Amino acid sequence: MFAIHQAEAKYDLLSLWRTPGFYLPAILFPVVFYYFFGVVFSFSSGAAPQMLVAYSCFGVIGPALFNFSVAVASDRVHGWLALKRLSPMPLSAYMLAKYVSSTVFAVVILVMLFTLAAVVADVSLWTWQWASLAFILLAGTLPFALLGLLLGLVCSDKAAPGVVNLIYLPMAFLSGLWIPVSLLPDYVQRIAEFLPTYHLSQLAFKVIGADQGQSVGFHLGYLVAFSLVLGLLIRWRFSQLQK
Amino acid sequence: MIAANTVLQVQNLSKKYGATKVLNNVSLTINSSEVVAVLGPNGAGKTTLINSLLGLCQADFTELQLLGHAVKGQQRSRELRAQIGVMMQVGSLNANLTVREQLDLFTHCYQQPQPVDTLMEQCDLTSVQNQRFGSLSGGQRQRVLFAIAICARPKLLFLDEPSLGMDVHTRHMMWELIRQLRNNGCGIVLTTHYLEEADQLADRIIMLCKGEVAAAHTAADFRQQANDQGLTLEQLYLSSTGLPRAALSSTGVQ
Repeated sequence: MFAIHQAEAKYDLLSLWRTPGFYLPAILFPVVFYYFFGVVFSFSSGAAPQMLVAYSCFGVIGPALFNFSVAVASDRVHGWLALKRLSPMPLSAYMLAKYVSSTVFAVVILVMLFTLAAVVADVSLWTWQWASLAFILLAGTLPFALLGLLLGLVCSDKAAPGVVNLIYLPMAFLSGLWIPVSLLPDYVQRIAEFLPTYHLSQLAFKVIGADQGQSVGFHLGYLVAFSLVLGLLIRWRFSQLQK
Repeated sequence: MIAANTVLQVQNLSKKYGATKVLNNVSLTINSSEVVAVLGPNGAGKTTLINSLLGLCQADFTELQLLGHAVKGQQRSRELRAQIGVMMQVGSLNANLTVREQLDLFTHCYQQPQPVDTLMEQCDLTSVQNQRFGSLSGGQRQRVLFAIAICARPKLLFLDEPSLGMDVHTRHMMWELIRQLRNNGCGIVLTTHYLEEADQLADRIIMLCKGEVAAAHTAADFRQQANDQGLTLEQLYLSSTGLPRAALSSTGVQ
């Protein structure tokens, strides 16, 4: 059983590696954004760590959302998902492989951003802070993987990238991943509290003491509830597709 | 009670999409070492029949036995899936993986798969083993999908229009492999639009029309019936599947 999971993960990663159209934007966007806004145009010495957290959050969400949504939509529409379901391969191998490959790319993004922050932007954090940031951000990709999976089960392969961008980019902006949420108008700040990106970023901001002051339980509770609702919707959509 | 050599038996299979009845009380039995060809015009329900048997879509039936296991609903156990090979009509693989990688991935799903090199040799894929699936021709893709379908020496094999897009040489190669599988005990369900293919391979022929079994013959009976009526196989097929009379007369069928 382990061999199937291993093979599926290996080939999913290999397939992504052969798709520069996926990984180049996924890696370069957060790194380039951080370089410009966190390093080059950083107007105060305190902005670089906050920008690091914001763009790290933005960066790790991308692979989870896109790898699940676009790939699942394509595999579903072209019959590959059906073929896998007909083989003895458990569905968990397929899902886990996608999660592993998204996580690998998320790790690459974090390593690049952390290195840039430490070396070029002189961001100085304690070891536990680096480790906590990495853990929170990597674990926090799960709700976004589920969101991507749901979109992949709903959208056609051609529509999926556009739909994901329509959700991902506004969600990132409204949650303060490009501009600090405290600088956004009040009504936007209220909208932010309904977005999973806000809650993940706030958990990460807590590590450097730059969050909005709400409790860990509030953010964690939101993300868990969000994931549970998505799980139920995914289950419902799977049953719809099998009719 | 079903015979010991029966690999598939379904009774009264019906399937609706909304108000449209796609399959209506179809009953079918497939034995080991037997190829059953399912013929029918586009929209007759051939692919839906296969999808229903495989659990890919919800369908109603009074009884379904697959390889001796009574099946209910859409769940097919892992053990069962390991013994069933499938080549779907709309089937694609990851465009970024090579032929060898695709086969390696799928053979990992089975306990005792055929070696990848053997599969590639059997399906004439050795020369394209390092090409990515996305760069293969239609016929080559079909061969890869066929290789995946047979990679674990299935006891029951579903082939949904397998020779679509294949050149003559490849089609004959695939026919030979299908005969070998049948001789080794595999029960095969084959849907096709090529009467020559059904004639070459099938032990029995079932004609579906508007979701119902319009005719069912042994292949020998089908040929005999055509001979007796002075018809070609194609003409007999057309008359059995209810081609409009005006169209039939142009083919010489009265």
